[in-house]
Amino acid sequence: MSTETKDVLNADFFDDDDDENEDAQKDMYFTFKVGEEEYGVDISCVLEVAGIQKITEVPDMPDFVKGVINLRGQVIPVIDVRLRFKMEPMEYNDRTCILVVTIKEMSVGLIVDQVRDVVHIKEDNVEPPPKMSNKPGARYIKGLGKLDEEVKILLDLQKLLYDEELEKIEAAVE
Amino acid sequence: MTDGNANIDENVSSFVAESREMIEEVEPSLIELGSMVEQSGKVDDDTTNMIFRLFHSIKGTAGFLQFEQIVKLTHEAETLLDMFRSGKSAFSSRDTDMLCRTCDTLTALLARIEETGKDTGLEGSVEAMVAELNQRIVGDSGGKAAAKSKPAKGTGKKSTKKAKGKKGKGKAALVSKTADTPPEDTDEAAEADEEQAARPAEYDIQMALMTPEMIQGFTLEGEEQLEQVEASLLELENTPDNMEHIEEAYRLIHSFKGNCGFMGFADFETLSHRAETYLDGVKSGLVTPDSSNIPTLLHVVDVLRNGIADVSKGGEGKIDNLQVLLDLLDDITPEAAKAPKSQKPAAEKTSVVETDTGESSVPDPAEPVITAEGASLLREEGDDDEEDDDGKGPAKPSPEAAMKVRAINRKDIRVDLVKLDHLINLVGELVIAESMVRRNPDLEGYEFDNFERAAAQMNKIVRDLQDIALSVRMLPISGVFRKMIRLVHDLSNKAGKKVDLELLGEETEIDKTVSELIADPLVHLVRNSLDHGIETPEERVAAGKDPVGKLILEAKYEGGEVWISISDDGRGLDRERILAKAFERDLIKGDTAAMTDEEVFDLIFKPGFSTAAEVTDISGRGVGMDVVRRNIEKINGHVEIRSKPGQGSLIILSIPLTLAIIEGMLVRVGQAYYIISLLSIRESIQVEKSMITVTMDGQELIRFREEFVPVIRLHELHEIQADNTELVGGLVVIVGTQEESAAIMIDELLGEQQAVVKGLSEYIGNVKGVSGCTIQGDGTISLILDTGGLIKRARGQKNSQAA
Repeated sequence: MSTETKDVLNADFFDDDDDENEDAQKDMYFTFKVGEEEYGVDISCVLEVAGIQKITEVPDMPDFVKGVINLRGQVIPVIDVRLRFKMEPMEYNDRTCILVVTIKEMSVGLIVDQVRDVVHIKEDNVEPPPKMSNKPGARYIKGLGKLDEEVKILLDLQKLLYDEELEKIEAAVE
Repeated sequence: MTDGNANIDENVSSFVAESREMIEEVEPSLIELGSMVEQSGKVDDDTTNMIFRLFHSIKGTAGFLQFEQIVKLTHEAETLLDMFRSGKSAFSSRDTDMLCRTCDTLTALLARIEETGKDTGLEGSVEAMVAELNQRIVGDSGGKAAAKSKPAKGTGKKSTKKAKGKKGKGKAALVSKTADTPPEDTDEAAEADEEQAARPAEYDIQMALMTPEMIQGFTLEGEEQLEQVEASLLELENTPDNMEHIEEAYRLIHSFKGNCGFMGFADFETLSHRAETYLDGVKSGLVTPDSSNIPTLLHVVDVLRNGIADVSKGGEGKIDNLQVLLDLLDDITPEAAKAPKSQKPAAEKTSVVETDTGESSVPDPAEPVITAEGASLLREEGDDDEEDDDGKGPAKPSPEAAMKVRAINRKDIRVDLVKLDHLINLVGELVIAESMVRRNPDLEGYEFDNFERAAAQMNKIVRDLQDIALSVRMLPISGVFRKMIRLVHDLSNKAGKKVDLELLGEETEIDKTVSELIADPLVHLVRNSLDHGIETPEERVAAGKDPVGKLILEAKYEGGEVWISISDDGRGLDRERILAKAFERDLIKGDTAAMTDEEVFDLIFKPGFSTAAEVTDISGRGVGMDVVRRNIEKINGHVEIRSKPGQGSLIILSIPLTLAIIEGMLVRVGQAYYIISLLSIRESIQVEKSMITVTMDGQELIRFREEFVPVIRLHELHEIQADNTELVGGLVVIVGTQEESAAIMIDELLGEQQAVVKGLSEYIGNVKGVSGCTIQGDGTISLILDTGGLIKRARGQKNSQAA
C-alpha cells in the first residue's frame, strides 16, 4: 500500500468513525426500540436476533448484565439495554428480543424492547451527538441519524458494552 | 523480504518447534552424561549418540532451510560430540556446561527465527560459542592438526577469506576433492575445514538418517524442480532477458542444490551450484543473457534429471563426466559473475555449502581431517570413488540402518492446538446432544426395545470418543520436569552448591494447557529451593547433613488432581525471618504470635516479598512466589507450603487434571442449577441440630467426622431465592479435602453428570466462586462451582471476622 492511499484512509478514519471498508454495509443500521426512542447500531456488528429465552444469572455482575444464554452451544452474555440506559425495568414480553452483536470477536446479546428495521442513513444525515446531555444514556450515542421525519439514535457499541463505569464496577468487584 | 517476520512459513515454524523439542531432550542427557563422568569416569555411548543425533538432525534441517548460524553452531557441537563418541577425547563436566550453553545460543537463535524469520542478529554470540567449541575441539585433537587447521578456522578470518577466495570457488571445490591442495587456499576448503565431517562415524549416522522414504521424496521433488527449471529455461530461450524466468530458474535450482546437499549427492550439488552461479550472474546483470547458452543449461538439467532417475532406481547419484559439464558452465559464466558473488550472497552460499558438506558426511577427501591419520585413512583417489560412497549410502541403506531409523521414527503427528480444541469442543457437544436424544421427553412413557439398544450402543461410542478426545490433550509431565534438570545444573554450579535432583512420577499425564501453565511456577519454585533452601556444602556439613543437597520433584494423581511437589532438604522456611521481613515491607501489622505457621508461610506469596538478603541474579527480587500463586490459581489449582526449620521444605501444587471436562454433581438452589465437581465432593449430609456450632462472630460450623467445617450459604453469596434457608434439616454438600473443607448449602441433589467446561464469556470475566459453566442436556446453562475458591472465601471470612 502506498503512503498516499494510506493517508487517504487515515483521513477517512479521522473524518468519521465509520467503517469505510465494508461498502455493502456502509451506512446501514439495524434499528430497535427501547422505551419511546428508536436506536440504531452498525449492521456489520449484528449477528442475529434471538427470541427472549431462559437466562442463567451470573452472580457478582452489575445489574444490567442479566446473565448468560445458550445460543446453539455458545455461551453468550446478555445485557439489558433498558437497565444500561438506567431506564425503568420492564417485564419481558413476546416482543422482547435478544439482539446478538459481535464486537472484537466477542458476542454479546442485547435485550431490547422490540426490533424494527434495517435502514440506510446517509453519512450527511448523521448529526454528531448533542454536546450537553445529562441523560445517563447520552454517552453511548455515536450520532443522531435523520431519516425522513424520524430520528434514530445511533449507538456506539464499544461504549455501550465497555464503559469506564463497567470497569469501575469490575474493579470494585475485584 | 524486509518483513520476513510476517510470514514465517510452515516449514520454518515446525523446524523451530522440533528443534526446541530436541534441545529439551539434549539438555537432560548432557547433564546425565556429566554426572556419569563424575561418578564412573565413563560416558554412555547410547546417550552420546543420542545427543549427537539430535544436534545432527537440527543441523540437517537448518541447512535445508538455510539457517547458516544454526548450522555453524550445531556443526561444532556435533564435531565435539563425535570426538567423544569415537574416543578421541574424553567427556568432562566442563563440556556439559559448554554444550548446555550451546543449547542456549541455539534457543536464542530459534527465538530470532520465530521473530524475524532469519537466524541473523546474534552473530556475536554464535561466533563466540563456535570459537569456544572450536578451541575445545582443536585443543584435544593433537597439536599438529590443530596447528594446521587453526588458521583456516579462525572464524573471524573466514569471511574475508571467502571474499577473495570465492572467485575460484568452483574450481577449488573440485581441486580439493581430487588433490591434496592445502585447504587454506580456497574458501571452499576453509569451510570444509570447519566441517571436519569427514569421519567414518558420521557416515554411519548419515546412513541411518536416510530412509527410503526420504530418497523417494527427494527424487520426486527433484524431478519436479528440474521440470520447472526446464520450463523456465525454455521460456528464456525465446526471451533471454525475462527476469521472471531467470529468477524462477535460479530459485528452483537453488532449492534443488540444497536438497542434494542435504541428501549428500555431492555431484548433483556441485553441478547445480555451478548452474546457479550462472543464473545468479544473469540475475544480477553481470552476465549478459544469451539464448545460445540455454542449450548448455538444458543439457545440465538433463544430466541432473538422469542422475535423479538413477538414484530413484537405487543408483549412486554420481555424474560421469562432471568435470566436462562444469567446464562448460564455467565457459559461459564470465569471471566477473563469479567474483562479486562472494560479497553479496556469500553468506547464503556458504550456508548451503556448509550444510551440504556437513550433511553429506561422506569421507570427502577435500575436507581436511583433524588428525593426520584420519586424513590419510579417508583420503581417496578421484571423485568417482568418493561419490560412490556418497551415493550408495542413501540409495541402499543397509538393513540395520533401516532398522535403526525405524526405531527413532516417531509415531506422532503435529496438530494445531486450535483444531484439537475444536474437536474436543465438538465431542463435548456430541455428548450433550446424545443425552438430549436419549432422554428426550417425547420418548417418555414408551418402550422402544430397538431404539434403546441402538441408543445404548451410541452412548458407548460417544463415551469412548470422549475419553480418547480428552486423552489426546494429555501429555506426560516429563517434558516439564526435564527442563528442570538443566536449571538445577546451572543454578547449583553458579551458587557453588551440590544438588542431587530426583524426578518421580514423570509419566504422570496432564493436560497440555495445564502443563504449559505450570512450567513457569515450577521454575520459580526450583530456583527458590536452590537459592534459599539448599545450603552450601560447608553449611550442610556444619549442620550435620550430607554435603549434597537433595531436591525431589514429584508428580502423582491425587483424586481428580495432579499433585506436583517440590521438596528439598535445605534449611527450610524461617518463621522469624519471614515475619521480620513482612513487618519491614508493611505486609502485616499487629500481633504475630497467634499466627499459625501456615499463615506465616503464606506471607511469602504476597507481592513484593523476598527474604533474600541480597538480590542475586537467580532470585531475590521479590517477584516469584506471588507469580507462582497467581498462575496456579488461574488454573484452579492451589499451592501449599510445609516446612520444618533445618529439615527442608515441601511445596505442593495441586492442579486439576484437565480443564475440559469434569464429572460433576448437579445441584439446585432455588431456580439456579450448579455443577459441583465430584472429585471435590466428600459427602452430602442432612444437617442435624447437634452438628451445628456457631462461633461468636456468626460463622456457622458443622461437625463432620471430628472436623469443623464452615458453612457456605450459596443463596446468600449469589443472592438467589432458595427454597430452604434453614440450616437445621437442610442439605449440605461437604466439599474439599481432609485438610480444608466447606459445607455448601443446597436445596436438592439432582444427580451425577459429565460436564463440558465452558468459560463464561470474556465479557463477564472472573466470577467469585464460579469457575465456568456448562450446557445441560436440555440446553440450559448451569454454573460450575469453584469449590477451592469457595473454601478459601469461607476461610477468608473466618479470618477477617476473627481479626
